[in-house]
Amino acid sequence: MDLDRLSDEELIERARSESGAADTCLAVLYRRYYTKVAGWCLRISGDRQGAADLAQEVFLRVHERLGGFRGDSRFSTWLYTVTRSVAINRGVAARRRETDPLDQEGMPEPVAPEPGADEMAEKGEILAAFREAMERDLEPLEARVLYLHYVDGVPLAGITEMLNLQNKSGAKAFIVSGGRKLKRRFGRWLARQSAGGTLS
Amino acid sequence: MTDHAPRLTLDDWLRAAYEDPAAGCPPPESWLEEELAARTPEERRRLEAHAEHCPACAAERNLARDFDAGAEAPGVRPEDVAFVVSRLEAASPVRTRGSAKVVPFRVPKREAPQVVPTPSRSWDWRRLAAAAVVILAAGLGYQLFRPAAPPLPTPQNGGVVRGGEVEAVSPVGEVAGIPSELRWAPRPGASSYRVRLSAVDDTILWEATVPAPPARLPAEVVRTLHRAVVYVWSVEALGPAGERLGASEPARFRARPSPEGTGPL
Repeated sequence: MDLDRLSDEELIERARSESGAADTCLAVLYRRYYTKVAGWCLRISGDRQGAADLAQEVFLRVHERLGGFRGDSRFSTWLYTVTRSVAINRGVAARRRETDPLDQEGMPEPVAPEPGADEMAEKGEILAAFREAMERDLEPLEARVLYLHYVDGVPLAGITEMLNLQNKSGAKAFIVSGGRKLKRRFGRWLARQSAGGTLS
Repeated sequence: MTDHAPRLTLDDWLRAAYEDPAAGCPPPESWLEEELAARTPEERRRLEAHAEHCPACAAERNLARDFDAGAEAPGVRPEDVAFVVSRLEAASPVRTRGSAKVVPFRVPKREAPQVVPTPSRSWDWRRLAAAAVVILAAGLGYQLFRPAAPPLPTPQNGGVVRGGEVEAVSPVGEVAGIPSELRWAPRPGASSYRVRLSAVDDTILWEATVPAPPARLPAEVVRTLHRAVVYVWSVEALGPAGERLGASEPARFRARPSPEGTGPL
């Protein structure tokens, strides 16, 4: 049978049901996505060595987790959730090992204690205020860069490439300016809440 | 503020702010082209309108669009793609002959691994002992890594997942709304149960040990669950000393999408 004619889901089903064909089916399946995943990893890593390491880890995780794939979504959608998850975990870990551009500006990170169960309402207010600050005080591009870097773990070089930023220092400038605005607005808000005793 | 309270950093706040259901953000994979294509024009319009003011979704849309573009994304050089692909080809996770890499599917094997000593005129007891050690090691390895039973199909429209050592009762399959508790059939002799709720990519969303069914999901966990998204849960029965008595098969569920235009994105 020409395996290339089978859909992704048919290949997985065949690999699942025929032990002798599993390796061949999975090799065909993965090879279909090597280029797509490679392109994405290059886009967000900013360098090809990092992209190669990331792509290898992606397919390792995909292979480990494929037994849990039940076909509730398309394989390609599932592949994206795994790829994104691996990239975020790696990216966030790497970012935390590096010097934060906001630290270089001498600006401490906004911090607050973790609220208990009875403080969830207050936490909801904080989260709403945070979104409001992100969406009203920051330029859309600043907010997007902050999110990509701090939540999605995309390196600054990757963001600069992805968003086609043409300024000299690329994404770093947006991190610094956006972070400064966020700190200015959110720092005061946190201080006010703390003074009111709701967070202590 | 107490000295023991964990201090939240900027990324914690950003993540929490946009995972908050009040933000109304769809799952990140919603921005993939094929997922958008499966939606109605009105749903797509609402999503795009949301991303216009939501930096988190605008960022996720960037990531998803780049995934769709793959090697065709601007700025991606063919020679770099070839380099990464060559690394992938060289280190494929698919098991190769003689290797011991991970096998994702537990396909029942028809025969146990065998090691048959080659007949020789000069066998002595040391060779026999060595062969016995090899056979024992192979057998032990097979027992440790042998395939488990294939997973059971998920029942449609509710029901229970049977066949595991513990029966997951609800939620299973497609359910009307976001569940607030997990139910299973009690197992005789169990002193407690360890329950776990995960996303389909195995990210653990919540786990707890409870004395008996049901396990109520904390409100902050319920708030992070989305309609039309598949989640997986399982339960383990534990004995008086915390020993594992049995476990359920993973049970999958999803809440029906809201009628168009009445719910969050």
